[in-house]
Amino acid sequence: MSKNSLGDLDNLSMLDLFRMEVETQSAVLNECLLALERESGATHMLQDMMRAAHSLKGAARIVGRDAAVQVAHSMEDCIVAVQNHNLILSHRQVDAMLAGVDLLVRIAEVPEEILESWSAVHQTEVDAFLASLALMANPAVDLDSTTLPQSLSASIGGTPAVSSPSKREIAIQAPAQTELTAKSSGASERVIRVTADNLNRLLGLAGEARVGSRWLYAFTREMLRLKQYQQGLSRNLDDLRESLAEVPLSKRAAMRLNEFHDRMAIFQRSMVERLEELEQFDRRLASLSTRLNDEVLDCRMRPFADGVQMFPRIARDLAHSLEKAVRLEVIGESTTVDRDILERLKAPLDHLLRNAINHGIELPAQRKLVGKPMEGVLQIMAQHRAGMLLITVADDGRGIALEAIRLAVVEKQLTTAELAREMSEAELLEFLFLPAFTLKRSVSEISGRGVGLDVVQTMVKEVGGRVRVSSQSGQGTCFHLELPLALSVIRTLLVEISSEPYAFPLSRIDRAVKLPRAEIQSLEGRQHFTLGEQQIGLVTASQILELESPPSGEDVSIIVLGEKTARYGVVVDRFLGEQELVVRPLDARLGKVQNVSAAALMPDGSPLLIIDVDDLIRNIENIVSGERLTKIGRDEGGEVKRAWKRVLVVDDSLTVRELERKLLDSCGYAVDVAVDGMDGWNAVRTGHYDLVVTDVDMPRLDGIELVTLIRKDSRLKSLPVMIVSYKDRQEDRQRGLEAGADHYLTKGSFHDETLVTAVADLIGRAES
Amino acid sequence: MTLLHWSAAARLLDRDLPEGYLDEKTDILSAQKNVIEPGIKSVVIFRLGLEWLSLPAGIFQEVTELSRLHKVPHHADGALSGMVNVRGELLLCMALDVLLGLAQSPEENRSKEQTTKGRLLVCNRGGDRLAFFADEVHGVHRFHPRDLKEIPATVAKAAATYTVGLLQWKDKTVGCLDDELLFYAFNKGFA
Repeated sequence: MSKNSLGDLDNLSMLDLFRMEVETQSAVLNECLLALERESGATHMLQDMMRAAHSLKGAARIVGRDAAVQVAHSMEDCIVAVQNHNLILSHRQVDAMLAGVDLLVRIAEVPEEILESWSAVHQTEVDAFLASLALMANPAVDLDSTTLPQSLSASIGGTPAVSSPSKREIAIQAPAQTELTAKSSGASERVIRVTADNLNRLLGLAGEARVGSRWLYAFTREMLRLKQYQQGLSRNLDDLRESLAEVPLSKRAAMRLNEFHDRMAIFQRSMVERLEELEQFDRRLASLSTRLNDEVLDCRMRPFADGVQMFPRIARDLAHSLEKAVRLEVIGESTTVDRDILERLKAPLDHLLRNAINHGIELPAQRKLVGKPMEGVLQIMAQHRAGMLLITVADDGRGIALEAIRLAVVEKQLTTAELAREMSEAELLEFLFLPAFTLKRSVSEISGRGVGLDVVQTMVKEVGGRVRVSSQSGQGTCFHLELPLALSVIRTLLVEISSEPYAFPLSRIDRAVKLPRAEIQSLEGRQHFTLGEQQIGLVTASQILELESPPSGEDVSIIVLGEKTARYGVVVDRFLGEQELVVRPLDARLGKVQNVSAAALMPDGSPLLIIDVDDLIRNIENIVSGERLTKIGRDEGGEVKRAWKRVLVVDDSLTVRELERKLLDSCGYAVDVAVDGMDGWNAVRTGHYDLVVTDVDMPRLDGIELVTLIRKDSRLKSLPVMIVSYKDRQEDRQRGLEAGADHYLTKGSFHDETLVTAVADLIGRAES
Repeated sequence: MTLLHWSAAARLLDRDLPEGYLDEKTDILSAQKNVIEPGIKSVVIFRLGLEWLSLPAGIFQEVTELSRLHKVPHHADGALSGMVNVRGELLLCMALDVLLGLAQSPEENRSKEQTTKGRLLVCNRGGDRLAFFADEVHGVHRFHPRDLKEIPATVAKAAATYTVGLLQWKDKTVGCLDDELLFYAFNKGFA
């Protein structure tokens, strides 16, 4: 029955597949081009490029993107020219080829609906590009005299766009995928794509298998008890035989007794054998399910190289535009990183990289003056250390001028001049992570982009890591990002709230304490207790979560959360212990659930929820500061709202729908909207409305059909319905009224009071 | 030798028909064909408290044992009764009785029955998945839409909203629910 669970690549359109192909092959092309620019002898790269360009051409032909076919073809020509030594790839030629890669990516991103108009607008650009590449591939022409079309040169300096396939998919591969590094190619492991949904389902099943094996273990223990019981029984029989030995027995009875004894012995042997088998099977299954689980979890890991492949290109383009010489080194490309973390690392790394090239690394001439090599080195390094992922971004530039920070801190009145003078290096560097703190007076186009290092800090904090910076004047700057190895597995404290399990991330808990009820003090109706020297206010978890409060016991279990200045104690039913959990996202239909960040499964397979500590703290603060009062007020507001006249607006045009909604809303009616007739029919049956305002021409179910359905329904037949349509001929009006509409308006009537007056005529004013 | 075989074969083939064989075959051939009429619908029939209800069989993905429910904070009342684990996947669980405005059957009866006959039904309607508890599941039943009866005015308003008609099954009256509207109302509950 579960056909739908097979939602994988089959569901992707050809265009989606083409975009994936472009994503993969453009990365190959970029990488090869950069390698060839550094080292013109890397001729084996040419074959890879040829293959990539050829695949792209074929794929583009299948989806009918002719422009992409042409671009890929002209790039092939250039590669052939290089292979035949008719063309040498220097900066300018690499620029042109890279522009071609960008162009391909852009073509792939154009949505199908606007492909025609896009082609019309951009054909000249494509033609100009083709012409420039044709000139390049043709050895008879002086290369330096050929110039790129303006739009293309401009796009070279920018970020190469990364295409995003419409469906979220991830690449899975066996460990250590080091494909296409400068030295080796072709030896990479095969990579397949699996949708994130599929992988999550796999993860769920693997987890379930482990739950099953845990059950079997418990069952085996039970069976052992059974065996012992049976052994006791057998001993009883022996005792009986012994005591009967002195009694004369009939021959028949003696025979029965012996028979009983023999059968018991057979049974016992067989029981022992079966139990051994069961135990063996249990061990095998346990090991198998654990491995399966680990392996599936590993699938979420990707090599670091996957997340940084666009950086060499970005670094090169940026350095060129600043007339600096920068070499980017990526170390630890095979280090495995959780795919979610890798994805989220991109923006912060991009920011750090631009910062380093823009502000850190000096111009070649300056570097020469201070005795450094002309080419600056920028290192991005990934390694596992002590159960954490450590990412280091280091440059050998001028370093951060501490005095400049000191000045800026005082200038921005973040502290006094005296205090600033006292501050240590580490303390001063901390200021760099404040929002909108910058040492440059004008935000640079290149590295500033309106965001500061706080972006880096925010991301790192979000995933539960931390960031440090160290700097040596004249020697360089180094950023250290410490991140958890996997987002999907977190260590938690399990607790019970309202008799159901919940988990608090361990990293967010200040401490967990158990107190006798007598130690809780009360002040002005608020409860608190003393921890060390501090008075800590108490709130019950069930109150914040709006759940039933359980009967209170002897002891109070408290989790202390928050920062030093604002700490709160959250009272839970009881502590269940520490547990490592595989995090599952909440069903998307739920949206953001207040105070909850995700779900997970208990070792026994029952569901639990993971607490969103930030959310919780915010809510506690609201309660403490009396916000709950306004909440009660809001409920009263809700009462009033229910007494309002409720109108349902059904229209497939967003503009008209919103216009009508605002118009009626401003008159005090409570307005709901539906996007087509079917949606309207569903809404009108499940909600309680005083009036329906509907369009006529709509997909799925048109307005006339909707009115007919309403008039046929025994419970809705007296509901007032108004049609608002562009159709203003007499026969249209007639049709609507015959179907049972109470009123027929044309859409021109928004501009005056007609609509509002008509509504008031039908159901009265909103207030009454 | 061959002659022996031949005569044995001839005896076997020429033997008299068993008693009643012809009658039996005649009956089978002359019996009225059980033609499957076009338009036949199949539904899964289940019990919720005191009510027997049904939903189109096509939307059901599986029927499984009860599993532990976890409430979702701030969604305590309404169409969502919580989350359940079905084969390692967390699914939203619909409070069908709340949606339909059904009276709860006596508390103690319910808990006793839930352990034996109670089932968790898992639905998938065009990718929208959800689960709900039923006190008892009968199985698949086929009927022709013309056998559907009108809903009497006495049926509670909320339940009537979601019922497209009534079906006679054995000695019971089964309410056929509108799956589209049910999913709509459930999903809208969190919009």
